[in-house]
Amino acid sequence: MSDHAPPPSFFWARLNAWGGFDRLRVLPLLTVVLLLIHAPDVWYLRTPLIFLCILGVAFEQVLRRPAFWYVIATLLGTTVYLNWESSDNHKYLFVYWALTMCAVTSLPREQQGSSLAISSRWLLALCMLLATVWKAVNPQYMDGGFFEYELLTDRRFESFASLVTGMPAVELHTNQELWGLLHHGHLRGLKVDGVQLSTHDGIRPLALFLTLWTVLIEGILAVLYFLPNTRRVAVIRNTLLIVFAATTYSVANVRGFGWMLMLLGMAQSEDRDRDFRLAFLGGFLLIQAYTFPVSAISGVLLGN
Amino acid sequence: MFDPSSLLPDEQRHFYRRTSLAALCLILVAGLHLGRVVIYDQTRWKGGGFGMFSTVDAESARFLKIYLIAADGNEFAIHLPDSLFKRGQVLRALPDQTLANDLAERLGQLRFERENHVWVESLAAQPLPAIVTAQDLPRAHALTAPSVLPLGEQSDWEPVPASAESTAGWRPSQVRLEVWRHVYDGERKQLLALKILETTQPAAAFATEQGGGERE
Repeated sequence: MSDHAPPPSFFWARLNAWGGFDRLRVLPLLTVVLLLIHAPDVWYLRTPLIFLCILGVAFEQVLRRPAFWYVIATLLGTTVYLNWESSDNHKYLFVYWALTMCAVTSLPREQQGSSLAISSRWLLALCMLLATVWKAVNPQYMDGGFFEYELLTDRRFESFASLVTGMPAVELHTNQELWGLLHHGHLRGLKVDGVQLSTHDGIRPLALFLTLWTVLIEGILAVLYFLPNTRRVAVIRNTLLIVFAATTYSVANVRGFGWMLMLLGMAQSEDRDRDFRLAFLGGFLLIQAYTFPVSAISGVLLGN
Repeated sequence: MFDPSSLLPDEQRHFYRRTSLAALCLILVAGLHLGRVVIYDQTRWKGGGFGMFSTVDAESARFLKIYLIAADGNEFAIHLPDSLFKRGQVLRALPDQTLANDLAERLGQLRFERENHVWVESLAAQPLPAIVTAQDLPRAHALTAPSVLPLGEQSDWEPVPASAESTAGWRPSQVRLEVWRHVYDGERKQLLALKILETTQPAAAFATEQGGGERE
């Protein structure tokens, strides 16, 4: 069957061999790393979570117990419930992932890999579908207004907007100050009804490109992860998910979300698609690499 | 590779029940979030519906204006005290009249320190245009920063209500709290502030009994 045909080249053969690790052993450990880095800020949840993670690393067999993941899911779920107003969506995804691990480890060993893959695929498909729908139903998103606003005022997009469009960083910084004045001007006794942002010729086309790119890639990923699991579909969707992570998180560095997507990508790569496990692991590392303060380091090296 | 269809019907149901658990939770929470967005104007960014980066109307686009009103009618704008930060965040994510009333009441139980009123005079002297531009920023920055500070702060863990015996600080007679959002006008490239709701609550009863709004 072509779906199971071994990849012909030496490179793919090596990739297959290296990607042949046991997902049910590696993924729980990677999850522990993720949880330790993204442990909740509140001490009454952070402390028990870190205790559990240490136990999981010291006694690896604990990571195969549903009770362990049940407690982790409860702690993360409680954190999200009590702090919903500040919880980003990937915090919810952590909870669902812990629930997945709980459910998977409660099944007989031979069923675990398949359950993990199916559950991860559904999570990926659903979060991409919801992200697409929220965007598609908002006219201001679809006409490029949202990304225009983000490029002009969001500090996270400042370097990217300046680099791609040539808009001086100082003007973007002024926009951020005007944003702040609108919110806090009343503290200085000012009555500010609105502020006029500076813009640049390149901002609008870039905003339109980002709008279309994001909604298209998320929509296609949603559809592809709902489709039947054939090798051809798997190759397309896995490649696209890695492209999505590599492009999206280079601009908007939401590391936690990116890592979670890579974890889910790895989890849904069954033995047939084990060549992609390393690619997802690479994505994991790439998202971290994006956090390097490249301009600051080069500035120091160049003596600026 | 294991094929779930090879299982007996009962085992297959069991397998899919476990496998779909997380996805069902996601759908349930996202549905709840959708309902809260439609009914209560909760931001799409927070609540588990995966609506981040889909709208300008994030919780960060919503902001609070808090004014202490003295007995003589003078108003002083203040920052939200750290001890009430979380309640402020909830109110921004979910603008609700009851939550706003509650927050204003809590603010009315605090005591404040007022150091100077230079900025009040500055306002009268240098009003800015309705739509502020980059050229107006130096004038805005020249104004003195606020100097009304909360003294008798409460914490969720250890409430320390201002008491009638307390003599420190200044007590307002009323607190006005306004919740605002900014919207983006893509044609004019302007951010415009729109008020969502407001409430005015009297300060704690003992303050009024003792002639609230006066420095003690």
